[in-house]
Amino acid sequence: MRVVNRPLAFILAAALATAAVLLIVEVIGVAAHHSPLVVPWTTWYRWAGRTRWDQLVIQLWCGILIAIGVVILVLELKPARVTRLSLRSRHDATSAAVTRHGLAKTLRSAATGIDGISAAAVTVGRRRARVTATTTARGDTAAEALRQPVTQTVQERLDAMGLRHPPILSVRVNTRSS
Amino acid sequence: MHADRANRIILIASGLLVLAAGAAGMTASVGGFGTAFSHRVLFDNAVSAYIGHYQWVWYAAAGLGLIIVLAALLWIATLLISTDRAGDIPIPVASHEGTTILLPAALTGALTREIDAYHGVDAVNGRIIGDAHDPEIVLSVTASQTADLHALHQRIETEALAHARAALGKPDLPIRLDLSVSRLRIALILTRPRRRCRVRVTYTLQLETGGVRPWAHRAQTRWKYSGIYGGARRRPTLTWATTARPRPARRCPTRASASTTSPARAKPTAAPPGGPGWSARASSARPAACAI
Repeated sequence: MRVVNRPLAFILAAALATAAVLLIVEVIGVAAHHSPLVVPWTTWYRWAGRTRWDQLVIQLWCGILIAIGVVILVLELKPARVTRLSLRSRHDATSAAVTRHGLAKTLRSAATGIDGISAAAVTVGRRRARVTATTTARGDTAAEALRQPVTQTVQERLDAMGLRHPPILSVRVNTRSS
Repeated sequence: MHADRANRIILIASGLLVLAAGAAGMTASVGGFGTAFSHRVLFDNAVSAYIGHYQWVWYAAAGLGLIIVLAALLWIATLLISTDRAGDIPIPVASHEGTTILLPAALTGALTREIDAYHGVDAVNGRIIGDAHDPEIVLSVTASQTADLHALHQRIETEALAHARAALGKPDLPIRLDLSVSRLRIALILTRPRRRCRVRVTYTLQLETGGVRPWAHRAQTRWKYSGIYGGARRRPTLTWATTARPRPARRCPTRASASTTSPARAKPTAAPPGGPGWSARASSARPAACAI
């Protein structure tokens, strides 16, 4: 569920209801010869009777409408961010998945379990998992030497997860100074 | 249909409508419908002339407005009070002498208690969504960082989820299982057990580390005191002391009963055939009362 949907829907529903109530009230007002009652629609009517389509104010309001429409459509049609990665299940009716943050923590735990690695930052996306490990050793040679065991350990942990579409792993080992 | 799907459809339609109105106005303004049209005033067109000439259009608009008001109020009410949670679930039985109803809370309670007893599980949340006749279980399991997620997933699927499907009599019950991993936790035992006669106390130590961290001061310390049997008639107590976040007390401490035993009330450590919380269901027409 998109978090923004419910507030947007509430605003739209409230605006529609208010506009419809005002319309009913003003139609009743016209029928009873007491118009305008709530909104000064006669002023707006006279303004529309003397305003041409090519005036700047029309373009401004049309631009505002276009912007509102685009914002609503972008919010609704933008693909939701992948928060879970599917796992292979034994039962077809089971939709098992691991969250991206959960997978990142697992991979980080695997990386930091290697001797010489003091910290690791893991970013898991839809197709790629990036591991940036930090070693306590100094020098690029030591960092390069740790890259292979880190890659192997993290890849083994990733393979053992049983993901339906495992992300591609990329590992980078930094020294503390770099 | 649940409100979220309807919201999305209506919002997309509204966005398209607003965008089309703005684009049409802008096109008319810049001369897309002809230079002559762009020099006219807003009401100088056939539609405006028709609306201005016939009064019934406004009465029809008022009637349409009434329908819109009612629909909008219904929409707001749906937004405020709707939920995707399932109601009481009827259990298919062979007998025609009554109906067996399973409360969703009983099912999720038994399910979460069983999974919570698995090794490596920190927390479990469950809910049942959808129609009562076609429910779907949604489970969120938080595992510790040292847990084998694959093994945990396999165990949950082959044991707990199978028990849930068997309890409902629906082999194809859709279940959504989300696995996540908890934060770094380092547990420490800070006290020593008091010795009492005829009482055996087991302390459960949960030690979970995520490697060497430069911010050790942020490490959360939590220890679990699994309880003392004061006598044969006293129920086991479970006490949590934590510097992290408080955890609500449990009505049915499955872990405590598994890890704390006394000679008078010793229980077998192996789970019953249906798993904890499941075996009593078959003997009662109200499984909710038996699942605790």
